[in-house]
Amino acid sequence: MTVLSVREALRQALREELQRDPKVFLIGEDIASYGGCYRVTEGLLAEFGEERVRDTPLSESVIVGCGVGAAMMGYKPVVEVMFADFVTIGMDQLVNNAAKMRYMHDGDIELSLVLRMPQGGGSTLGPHHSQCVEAWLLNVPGLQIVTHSNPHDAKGLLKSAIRDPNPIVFLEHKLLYNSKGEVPDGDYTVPIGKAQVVRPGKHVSIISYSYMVTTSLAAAELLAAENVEAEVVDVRTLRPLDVGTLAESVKKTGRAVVVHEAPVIGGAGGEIVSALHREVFDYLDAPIERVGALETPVPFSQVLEQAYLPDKERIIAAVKSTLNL
Amino acid sequence: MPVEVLAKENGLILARQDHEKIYRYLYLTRLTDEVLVKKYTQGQLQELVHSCQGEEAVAVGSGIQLRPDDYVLPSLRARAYFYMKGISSREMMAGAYGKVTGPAQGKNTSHHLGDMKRGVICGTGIVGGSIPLAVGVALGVKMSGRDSVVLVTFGDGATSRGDFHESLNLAAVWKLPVVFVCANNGWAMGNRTSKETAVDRISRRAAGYGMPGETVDGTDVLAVYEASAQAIRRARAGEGPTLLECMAYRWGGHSARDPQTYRSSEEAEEGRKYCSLAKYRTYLLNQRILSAEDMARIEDAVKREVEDAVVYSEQSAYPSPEIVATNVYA
Repeated sequence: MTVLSVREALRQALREELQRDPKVFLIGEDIASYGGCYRVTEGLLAEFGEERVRDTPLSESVIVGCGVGAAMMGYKPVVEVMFADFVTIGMDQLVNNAAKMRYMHDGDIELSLVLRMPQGGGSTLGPHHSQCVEAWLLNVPGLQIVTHSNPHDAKGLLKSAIRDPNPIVFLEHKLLYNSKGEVPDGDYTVPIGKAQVVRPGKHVSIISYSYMVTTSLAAAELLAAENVEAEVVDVRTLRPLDVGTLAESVKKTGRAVVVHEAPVIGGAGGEIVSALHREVFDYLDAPIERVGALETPVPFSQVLEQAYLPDKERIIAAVKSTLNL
Repeated sequence: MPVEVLAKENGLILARQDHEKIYRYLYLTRLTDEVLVKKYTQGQLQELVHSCQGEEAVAVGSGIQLRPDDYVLPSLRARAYFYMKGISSREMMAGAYGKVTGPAQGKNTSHHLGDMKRGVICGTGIVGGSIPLAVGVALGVKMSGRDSVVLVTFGDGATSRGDFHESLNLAAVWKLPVVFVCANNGWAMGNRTSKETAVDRISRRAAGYGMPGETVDGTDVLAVYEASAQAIRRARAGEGPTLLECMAYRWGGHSARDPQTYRSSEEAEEGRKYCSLAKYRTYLLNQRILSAEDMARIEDAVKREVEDAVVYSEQSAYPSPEIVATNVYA
């Protein structure tokens, strides 16, 4: 075991997969010479060369198109879109090509593609460098959507995503890159499509993903001081959603709060609540609550941004409302 | 005039069989299109027909040179490529009927079909959506060290898309083996090309990306053949992409549902004077390459092939609902 940051864990995953499989290559803006806007790909150009670590012009549509086309040729591209907000420019290639090619060819192709994107606010980067985009992509059959909240999962899930034969959107969070945790030495993977209980509890299930798992765990600590034992579940894969693990938790606790950083309306939380609803209806002691950002663009100035983002206090308030406290 | 006829002395030397093949594909494309339009109007097809009459030579002249290991990404109006890549009339026709014997068991239309083994990549209903994809396919080809070529076709309308420009730029920067074939047929759905483009020739755009661009008469199959040969040679030799603009005139509407309120029937009739089939017939007869009887024989065989395809399609079953959720994921 070694303590690594999420950034280091991701870099290790990329490095190991580049070494392991000659079909893997990286492509994106400023990932090679610059080392990646968030430094995830730092050092990889020197080690693997510019055929396998490719800088591109400012062209998200053709960048994603390159990923799809090269994947159809049997390669395993790992495409980086510098900020998740920029996925809008690549949406046609992602949604209309990547997600649909296998179906339109009736299975007779390869399309092993990973699209990595840093998302999220909290860095005063303003409305266009802070969004969370998972809900924009969740309604597209053919895609898989994966998140992580810690270095162990970051490395294991990125390896799984690269090895997976399907197109996968791999969402990273800016505030997690420096976050440290234990990572096994050697090769290992974390399965796609499985949620995980990261903090056991009995009074309420806080269901979350990505950076909000950190915030949820902090809220759980405060709640524990008030004798409310919250179970925190990390969803990890949003599509396909592991309803079984989520339901098992809620059946045990009888109460649930779904937390994500994206705004509530139309957010992935709605899907999670609906998917759970049928499974846990007879076990619920209160309606399931949702916590998300305010219904505004992400503001820039810190005071405003902090008012916008979900925080421990909002999670605690939601938990308490399920407990009628 | 809707189409400028560019005089060209074709110094090409093709064998008689090559001419026979070219003639067969031109006639097959034309006849199939006529049959499809008729069947659509009779309500027998599920697929909305986008007629390629007037533009057949663009596809035939360029596509006939593709090797089995080359890739093509046909536009919605480029039917001939499928035949030249070895896809049968039966499968194409069954696709238009929506039958299980059509492409992808009915999951996809005939004009967007894909067949990886034959080097045909599925088209997209988003006009021009194949252009960035073609760059990716070419990247894969180049990375694998092969000398295959990737031919992507689109109309003049598609060249207004932002990522058309992204694609040319990146293909040129990375010297990717793409042949960008633009069938400029004077119309982007209901809008004249001249109202959408401030430049008189779309091929001029290539210079902006540091790559060669050329304009040829898209109704002269040998002119298209010759220009394509150069572009394909360049791509294969690792010299990078080319933008080949082929001037033609769209005979029909955008689709078989198009009432064509945007042009007079006189203008549409004028456009029909530019016929790739008639032009080539004249050439073959004048050069004594094929006789009228030779051509009639080819036409008869094609007629039988298309009739067979119609019967096959009418007799084929529709897909069963059980397959609707298959092959979404690997």
